[in-house]
Amino acid sequence: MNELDPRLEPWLAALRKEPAARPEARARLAAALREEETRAARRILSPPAALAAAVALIALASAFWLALWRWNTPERGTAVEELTMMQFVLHAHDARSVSVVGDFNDWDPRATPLTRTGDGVWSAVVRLRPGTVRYAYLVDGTEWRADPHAVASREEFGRPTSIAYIVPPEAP
Amino acid sequence: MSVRIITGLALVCALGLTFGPRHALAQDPRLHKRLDPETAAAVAALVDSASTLGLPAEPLVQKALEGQSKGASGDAIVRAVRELIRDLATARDALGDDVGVDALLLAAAALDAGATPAQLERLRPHRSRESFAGGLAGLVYLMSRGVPAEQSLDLIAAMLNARLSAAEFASLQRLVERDMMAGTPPAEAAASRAQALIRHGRSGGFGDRVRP
Repeated sequence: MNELDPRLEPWLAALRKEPAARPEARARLAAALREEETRAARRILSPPAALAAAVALIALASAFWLALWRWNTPERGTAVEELTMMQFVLHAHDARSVSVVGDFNDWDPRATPLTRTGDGVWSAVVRLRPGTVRYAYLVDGTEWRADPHAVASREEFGRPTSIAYIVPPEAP
Repeated sequence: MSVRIITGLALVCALGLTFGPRHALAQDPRLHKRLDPETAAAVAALVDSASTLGLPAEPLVQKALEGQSKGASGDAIVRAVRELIRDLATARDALGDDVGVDALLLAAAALDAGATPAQLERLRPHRSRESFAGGLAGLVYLMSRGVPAEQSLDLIAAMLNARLSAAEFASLQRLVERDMMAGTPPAEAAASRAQALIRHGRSGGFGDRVRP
C-alpha cells in the first residue's frame, strides 16, 4: 500500500482518538455491574442449599425443644410401666373428706380424693413416676396436713408440705 | 410455588421453632388458668429467666400452683418462686450442671433443712451414681429427724462410696424410723444402720433384703 495522502492526515488523527462515552451510558453500565455483583453475592447460598439448611435447623430446633420439654416435665415422658404405685394413708377420724394434693396432680384439691377404708383411716393409691414428690393432705377442704410418715418440707405459704422420694424400680 | 418462597417459609418456621418454644414453655397454660393475669405474667417471666439459666421450669410452675391451691397472695407466690429459683441455682452450683431435676429438688430441700452449699459440694463427686438422688433423699430424711448435717453428710457420702442402691437408702429411712420408735436417738440409729448397710453392701447384700 502506498503512503497515505497527506490531505487525509487530520481525518486519520480524529479516527484514532477514543470516542467519549455519553454519561447516561456510563451510568447504565455501572448499574448493570452492581446488579451482577449483588446477584453473585446472593448465589453464595443457593436456594436448594438454603432449603436444606432451613430443614436441618427445623429438625435441630425441634429435637432441642422436645428434649427440654421432656426434661422439664418428666412425668409426661414416662411410660406407664415405669410408674410406681404409691399409697397415701391418713388417719383423720372426724374428717368428712380428705384429698391428697401435690406436684403429681398440679396441686388440684379435687383431683385425688381419698376414700375412707376403716375407722378414721383414709387412703388412695396413685400411679406416680419414680422421683421426688411434694404433697400435702387437705382435710374437709380447708385444713392442710403434712404426711406424718414422710419428711416435712419447708412450710410454704403458711401450710405444711411433705416431700418423698419414690425409688425407681431396680433394673432386672 | 417457587423454591425461593418455600425456602423463605422454611426459614420462618425454623426461626419460629428456635425462638418460639422457650416463650411457649414459659407461657404455661396452667399458670394463666389458675393465677390472676398479673401473677401469671410475673411467674412466667421468672420461669423464662430460670430456663435461660438452664434451671428446670416444672418445679417452678408447681410451686406457683401450690401457692394458688393454698390460697396464697400473688406477691407470696412470686416470692416463693423466686426463692426456689435461688435454691435450685445454689444447689446446681454446689453439685454441678449435670444433675437431674430430682437431685436438684432434694438438694434444695437439704439447703432448707440447714445444709450449707459447701457441705453439699462434698457429695459432688458422687453425682453420676444412679442412686445419687436416693442418697440426697436419705440426707434430707436424716436432717429432718435431727441428725446433725455434718454427720448426715458423712454417712450418706460413705453409703454412696459403698455404691449402695436407692432401695438401700430407702431401707435406711425405714430402719432408722423403726429404731427411733423403739427409743434409740436419731444420730445413734442413723450411724449404726448406715454402717450395717455398708457392711451388707460390701458382702453382696442389697435393697430391701437387707435387714441388719
